[in-house]
Amino acid sequence: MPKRLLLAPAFVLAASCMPNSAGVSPPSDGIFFPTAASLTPDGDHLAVASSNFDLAYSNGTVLLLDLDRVETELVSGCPEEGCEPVEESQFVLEAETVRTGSFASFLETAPEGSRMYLTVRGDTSLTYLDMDPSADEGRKLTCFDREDPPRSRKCDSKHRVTSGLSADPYAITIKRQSYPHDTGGETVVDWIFVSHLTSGQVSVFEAEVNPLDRDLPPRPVLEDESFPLGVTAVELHPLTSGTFYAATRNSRSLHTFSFATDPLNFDGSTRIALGRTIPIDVLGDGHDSRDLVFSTDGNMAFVSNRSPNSLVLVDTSLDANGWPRNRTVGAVELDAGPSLLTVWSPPGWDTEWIYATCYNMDRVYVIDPVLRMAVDVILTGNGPHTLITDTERLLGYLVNFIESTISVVDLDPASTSFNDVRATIGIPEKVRSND
Amino acid sequence: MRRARALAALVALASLVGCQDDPPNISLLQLERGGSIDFVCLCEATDGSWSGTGMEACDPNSGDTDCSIFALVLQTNRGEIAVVDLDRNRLHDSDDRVPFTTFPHVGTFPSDMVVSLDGTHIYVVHVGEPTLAIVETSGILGPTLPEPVFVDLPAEAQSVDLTRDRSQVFLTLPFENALGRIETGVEPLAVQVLPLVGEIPAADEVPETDPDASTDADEESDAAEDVLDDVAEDLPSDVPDEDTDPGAPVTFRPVEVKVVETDGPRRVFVSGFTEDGGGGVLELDLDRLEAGDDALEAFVAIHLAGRPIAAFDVVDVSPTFSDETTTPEGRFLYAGNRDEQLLHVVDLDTGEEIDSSQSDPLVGRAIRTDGIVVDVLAVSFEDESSEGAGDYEIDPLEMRGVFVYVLTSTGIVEVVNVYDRVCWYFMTDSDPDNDPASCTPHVLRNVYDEEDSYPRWFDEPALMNGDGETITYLPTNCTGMATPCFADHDYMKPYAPTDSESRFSYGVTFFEDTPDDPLMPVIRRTVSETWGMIWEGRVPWTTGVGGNVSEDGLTLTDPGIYYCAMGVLGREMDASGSYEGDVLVIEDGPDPLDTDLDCSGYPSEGGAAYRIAGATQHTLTIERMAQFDPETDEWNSDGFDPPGEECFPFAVKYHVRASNQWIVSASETGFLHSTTIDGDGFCTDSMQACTDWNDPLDCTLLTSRAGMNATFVNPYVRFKILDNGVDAPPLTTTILRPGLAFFFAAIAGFQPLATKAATLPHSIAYSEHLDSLFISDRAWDGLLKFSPDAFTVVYEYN
Repeated sequence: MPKRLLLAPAFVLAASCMPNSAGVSPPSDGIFFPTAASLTPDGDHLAVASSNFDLAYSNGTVLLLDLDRVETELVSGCPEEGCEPVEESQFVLEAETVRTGSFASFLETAPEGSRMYLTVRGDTSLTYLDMDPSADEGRKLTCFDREDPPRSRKCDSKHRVTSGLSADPYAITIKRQSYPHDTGGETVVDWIFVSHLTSGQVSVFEAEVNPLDRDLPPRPVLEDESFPLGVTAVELHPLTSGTFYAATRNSRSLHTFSFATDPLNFDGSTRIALGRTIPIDVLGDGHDSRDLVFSTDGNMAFVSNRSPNSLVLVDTSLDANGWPRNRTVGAVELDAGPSLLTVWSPPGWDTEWIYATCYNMDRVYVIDPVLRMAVDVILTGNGPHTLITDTERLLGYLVNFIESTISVVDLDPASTSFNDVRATIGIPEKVRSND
Repeated sequence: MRRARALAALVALASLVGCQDDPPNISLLQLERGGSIDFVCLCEATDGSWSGTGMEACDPNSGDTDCSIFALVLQTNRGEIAVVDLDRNRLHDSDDRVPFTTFPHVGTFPSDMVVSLDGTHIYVVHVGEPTLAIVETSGILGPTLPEPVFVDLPAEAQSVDLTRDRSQVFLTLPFENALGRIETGVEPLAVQVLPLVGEIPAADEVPETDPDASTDADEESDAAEDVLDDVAEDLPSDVPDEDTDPGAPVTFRPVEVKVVETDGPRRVFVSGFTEDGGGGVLELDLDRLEAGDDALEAFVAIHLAGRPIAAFDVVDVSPTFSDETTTPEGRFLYAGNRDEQLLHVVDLDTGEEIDSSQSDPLVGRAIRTDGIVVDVLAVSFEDESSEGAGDYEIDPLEMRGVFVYVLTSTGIVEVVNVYDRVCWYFMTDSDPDNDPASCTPHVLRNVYDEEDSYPRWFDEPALMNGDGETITYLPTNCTGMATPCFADHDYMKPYAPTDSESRFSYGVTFFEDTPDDPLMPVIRRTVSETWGMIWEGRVPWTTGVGGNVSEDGLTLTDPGIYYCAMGVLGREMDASGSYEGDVLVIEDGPDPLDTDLDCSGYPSEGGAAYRIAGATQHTLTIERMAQFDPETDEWNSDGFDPPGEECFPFAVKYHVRASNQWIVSASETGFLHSTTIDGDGFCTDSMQACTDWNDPLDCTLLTSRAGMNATFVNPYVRFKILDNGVDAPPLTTTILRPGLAFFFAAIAGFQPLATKAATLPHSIAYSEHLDSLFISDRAWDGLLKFSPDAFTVVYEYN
């Protein structure tokens, strides 16, 4: 798989205006500058979005890795010190690879659904992918007419929703809500919240879940501009039915908001109402937040901050009145370039850890939220960005952006190699910088 | 495994440096993720070997030139102890055969470290592996790295301390909810697990305990659970719901352990927390633990029960001068709250938490700090003079006495006066007529604004005591006044003694565009409630009631708090038939701001008095006490309407009887908020309105309903502060003259003495011989040398 890797700051600027023009076709069996990944709804595959960050190809891609093969043919045979990197092509379902726009940001699977959503900065779209594990080869992952796949396997315009979406769509959060009918039955809707990296906007889309037979694309319903610049994360407080939290790059606070609508009332409008801000006052100058996640029980929120490099802990438990306490209660040091966070709660274990990727230092910090301290550090490939956890196999799949690999991490607390990189999918690429 | 991997990585790194055509652009960190700090005195023998010894050998006056002080800094990521030569101000390379600076390895993710008093051994515990590492200090300088002895533990440990004779090691086992104890003289070394599971009381009130009583072997029946049960029975009935249920068994997850062996009782203190947000500091009898008792049998007391505690220290204050009779002698616990920006102070001899509040007395009696407390350090600065006051010469700026240094998550270092010898001298030694209480202990030390500005009394500002005398509110005519005078902000008319009760909006700034009555502005245009203050000369600081007030020109704000209905909680009617605490009096029933809201079905709020049952930021919980009967023109506390729903939110005005505890300064107020209804139907603040002075928005309230006794958000309250006299009847229709419950104790700056020393600090330690503090920082990888007198960083090791 040929790769020409040259990082240049100009690519960043090009992100928002780069057409998906004809050129060198992207490989269908390779990973190139991956930015996002997600388990498919059946849990058998890892969907990996390659961003085409150096614009070496005409498009980005989303491909599927066979996780059973990764486990049985790669990880299980690794020696104690881990396996040498292997070519990714042997684990790729090549016939399923689809082409997207360049500069993919986030990939999110709808809850219990067969859709995955991908934010793409290159064509400023919310692209959705349909997943059907039982379909014939070449039709499991589609972003086009499943019955008549195009030869290019390029996402069609229906699957790339661009209207109602401003520049640089980034993080995705999906809230599923059901609306019972007076006459019985219910309407189920996925509300899709998309943050924007370079503005103070959060966009909201509505996607039908029940009935889904109409197979409609998500419908833009709202674009709110009330947030500070650079919204990097939007998450729903698990203990509330409608309180969201947003982290931003340019604010020293977190922002809460509620979203109100009534899909049964077609004249009803949707709106976002900002709530209290939560100052990051456990840090002297806490800002440049890059991610926000909640603990499994919803009593804590965790925020990765780059100024200073730290994980901020927020008490979001409910007080006697049912209100989130929303107070920052501590900060744990991280290394340079904190990026995305993952909460890992192994099945059968009454504990959880927070995994924080540190992009600039090629490390993942493992934080014990009870002790409020780092308890381990994973040495990773170049440019770790996001970690996807697999509760079935007790593995983690770490997306290394710069070297274009996926590190497979042992996440079994009972294992002697807990938190060790067991294997690397893809041969690490050396990236030259021209600055 | 981890060590092997680290070594492999190091070798790989070394090979890379040697083989690459283009050397990688890396910056090698030498001090990385500093953790615990301790010191060791090492002396060089004639054969060139080094051995650890007691710190006295490194006393500059000892004449022993072969001994040097080294700082040891735990490096969590690398699993090392960094050795810092403090005499030569450099990092010590413990093995020069290995490239770069090399430090002794002590295991995976070490979390705490302590050096024995005799300087011979280092004890290290880890959260990355269940071991205790014991390192002989004689080997830490090399030429080869020492090999620690590892003692297996049942689980990972977080904190470690040991007795002065290093015969016993104590460590916290948070995953086991237990304390570990190791007798170092018994081979093979094994840990005794002391579970910390029992019935932990919830209140902050601890029954008086005789510190020595539990050492009596005849009192074996005084078992821990009995003691805890007694404590639970003594709990006040109004324990907040969110506190620990006093009757329920609680697992106490320990954080930090300290062994305290002074002239008083020998104790082991263990801080910790519980799953439900409670916690405290356990005081255990060391003699009993030595005798083989488990932790609960050795229980003496639990302090700060119901509060999660992490870092703490214990200070023992003894009289220094024979002619002093008012020295604050005693043992005190300083404990940082794990969840809130608070430092609690407990008198260990009485078990009472000391009211050191300089901020919101409703939130707690603790000192509000800048950030979460990450470390607490008590330091006793030696006083070279012991001749008594008569011959005493003192530098007013010198730190003498006993102080507690507080290191916070924001990198701020603050100091608490425990026994400020300088103040004591000028207050009491120099003039017996001075009030010794003016050298207030257990409060944040404040900034001195001039070199010769040592603490001393001006004339007591009686006018500020709210005792019914005239209060001077002169915004433009304060010149020459020794006492401070207060003024409202620009748009507010200065108060005059002749003002009527209609001027209720002191401290609140409104927009100008209130054409009808500038003194009764449109409430929805409220934009600020910061106070203006005008003074002449030096600004006094406050004790007990003022707080961390910062000043910017004539505007004072309190960065530690936001708006809150602050005061003291109201209490039940006492035997004399009067109420204590703050009272909310709603004098009228203002129209709802939402004119479409129909409130006709609800009783009028006019003429009702409420006891403030709870108040925190932005919130009030009220209980109706009485109502005004327009027919009799009297307030009735009998037969009033039972609590009912109110049409909420209203723009109520209320008066608070300050009860000598009141905060007047705030910022980012609730006034700036609008409200909205969240997804669960609760009223919440919304910051979307009125947040910009230059671009006022429509702050029309959304409507919702709130029942009595419910805590609700009302961002539109307005207030004035009434006289704090204890006789002020809360239900009277006679509105007293506004007064402030300030009590000025000394002069100096309003701001606490504070320095930002680090970005993500971890620990603070004091070297007596170097008379310096040292701070480890986890953000930019260094060790900071901090001067206690200059109160600034004077050297950086990295």
